[in-house]
Amino acid sequence: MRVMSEEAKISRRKFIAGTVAATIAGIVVGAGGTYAAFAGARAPEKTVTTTVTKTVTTTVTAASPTITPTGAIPSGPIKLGVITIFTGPGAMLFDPGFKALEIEVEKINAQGGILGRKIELVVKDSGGKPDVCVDHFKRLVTEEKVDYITVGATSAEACAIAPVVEESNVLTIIQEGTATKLFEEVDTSPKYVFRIANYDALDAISHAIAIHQAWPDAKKFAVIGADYVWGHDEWNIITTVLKKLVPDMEIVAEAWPPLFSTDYSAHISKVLAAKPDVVELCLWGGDLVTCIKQGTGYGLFKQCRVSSVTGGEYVWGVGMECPDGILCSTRYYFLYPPWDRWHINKEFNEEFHRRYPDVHGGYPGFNCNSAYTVIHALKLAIEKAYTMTGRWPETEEIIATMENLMIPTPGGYRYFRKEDHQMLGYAISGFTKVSAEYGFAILDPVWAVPPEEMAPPPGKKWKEWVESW
Amino acid sequence: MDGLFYGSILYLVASGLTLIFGVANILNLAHGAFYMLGAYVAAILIKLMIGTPYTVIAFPLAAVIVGLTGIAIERGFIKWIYEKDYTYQLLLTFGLSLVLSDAVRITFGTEPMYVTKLYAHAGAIDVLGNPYPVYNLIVIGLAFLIGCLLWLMMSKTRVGKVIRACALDREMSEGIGINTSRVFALAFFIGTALAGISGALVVPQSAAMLGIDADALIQSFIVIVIGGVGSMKGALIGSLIIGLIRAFGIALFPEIELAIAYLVMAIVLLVRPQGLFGREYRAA
Repeated sequence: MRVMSEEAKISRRKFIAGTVAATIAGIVVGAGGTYAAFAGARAPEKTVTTTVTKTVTTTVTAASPTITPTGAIPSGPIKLGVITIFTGPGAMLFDPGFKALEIEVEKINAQGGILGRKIELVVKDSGGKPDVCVDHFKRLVTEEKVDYITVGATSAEACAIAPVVEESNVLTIIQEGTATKLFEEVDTSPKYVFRIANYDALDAISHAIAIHQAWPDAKKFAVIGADYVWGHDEWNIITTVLKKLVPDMEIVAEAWPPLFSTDYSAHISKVLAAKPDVVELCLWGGDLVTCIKQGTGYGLFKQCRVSSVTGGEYVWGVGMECPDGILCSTRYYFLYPPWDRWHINKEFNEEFHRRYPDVHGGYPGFNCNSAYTVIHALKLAIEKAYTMTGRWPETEEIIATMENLMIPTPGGYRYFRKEDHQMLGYAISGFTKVSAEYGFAILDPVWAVPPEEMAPPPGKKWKEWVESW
Repeated sequence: MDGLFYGSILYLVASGLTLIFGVANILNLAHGAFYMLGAYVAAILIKLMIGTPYTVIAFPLAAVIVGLTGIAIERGFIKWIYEKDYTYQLLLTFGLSLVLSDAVRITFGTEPMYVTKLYAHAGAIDVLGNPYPVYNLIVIGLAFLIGCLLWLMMSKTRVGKVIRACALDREMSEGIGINTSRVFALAFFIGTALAGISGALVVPQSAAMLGIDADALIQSFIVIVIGGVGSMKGALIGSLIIGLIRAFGIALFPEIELAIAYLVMAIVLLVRPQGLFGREYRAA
């Protein structure tokens, strides 16, 4: 008798879960329609179809595990370990991201927390150093006994920490740490590791697609790229894709300034002398700003077309002197989806701007969107898992839910891929256009490349996938 | 042309480093941090003054502020280790460089500080059919001017003679009634102010950001090793060599841009260990 009543309960919960998921699916369809309106030339129907299919799968899988509901919700707060970068050059990316995380945690706590439990952050600074990051991780697990961990990491940190996480059995969500090899080589069948941001290969592939869309006639390419792993990798991927799209393309010049250079004049002169159609600036942060400023002095933007794989938010530093028409790509762009059609983005930006008008140009950057996504994905996964278990879910149960999670973020819908725990979302591209309203160059027009067009299928390395086009 | 601008900035940083070493016999590992401090101070000042005709004052003002910080640090810390072994000064100045860059981070934040308008408003002129930024020309001219002033001061004025006397022989100078302690403080002021002004001059065409100190320090070390440690003329020739070789290196061998400066330094060390214009090392 008792067993039967349990089953009845479960099936009711399943039903509720199904309803919730169906509602989300409904929203997605609606949102898809909205996207269709503003996605412009970017094959909108395809996006919508894929999105909906994904959600239906989500519904089925998310509701399938049968877990007996027992026990209640623990009374103490949830301890979320945060390892991020407050010192060293990486801080300019992760410090604003942490501020966004704090805003969201405050908001969630003010609304009662997750299933009534408040979130408590235990914060550590890695300074961008892999060994320090691993050390902090071990301490968070053994000494602080945190429940879950999020890491705002560099690529090197992510690759160093992933194997340690897999042995520790603590759910760990990496915010950036976008080395392509993380899930292609280092941690090929992740269990406890998840990653939020579109990784480097996706940035480069989508950017190359955008370059070809914007300038289909361009054949001669040159690069000014930061002389370290990231710069060379991105250029390698961009040119591999471009070779597929423009078979007779050629690379006419390459210049590799070290990180944090203050003088790019010789590099600019060099690429200009090769008379390229497009110059790619494979730089980020202050380096990109410096190179754009100096490029203006050397007539770079008058003599050829310029693109940048990271440009979106870094061009803010050039202020009103930023040349129009630089093709920039990014993982999240503060004006996309447009605020009047995507309220989460509007509220996210307005809140950040109200609290930190002087931080990061006053608007959230891509790491801020990742930080938002971390906390809301965790909340959603715990709550969804609870609808099935009826008690506080075990880490494995949260992981099972998270593996199929789709979540609205300021940057639009994003979803985790079950196979490799990689979250996918839109990649944004657009042309710079100086805006008196913001006091810097915004991307206008701006458009999105959907993940299905730029992400290798699960289990496939980017190279084999691109080669197979 | 591209090499000249880089060389000019390098010259200003390196001449400060070599002056401090030449006079006070201190290898100042915190020199890069003073350069970075100059960049941040200038960024703040320019932001405050932009649009007014006084913006130009921001540069010498930044240099003076950094110079005063230099004196304060010399009086507070470095003064106590003149007589001690080299190890002490390396440890102390390296520690100071970490403290200074952390102080910069805490004071000015982690994000790069950008200054707009100045660089773009200076415009560009046509050099051999290619545009060349006027701002770079101004900096090259200014570095030349500062170089001339330094030379005049060192060779023609009484202060210069006193400084050179202290550099040659501290005990003897004290013997003839020179207050060497004050001279060392002055050397620190000029040396760190030179680092400050070069940091300030970089800001309009680049940014004040964390991390620029290391590069400035390493490059200026290479320059003074090539030119001869302690030699002002060496700093000038060394920075021109590095500036030009770097520009050629980027154009011809982009793969070894970083290595090429070290390569030149290695060759100079092999052929002429005291540097191009260095004097033979005295026994300590």
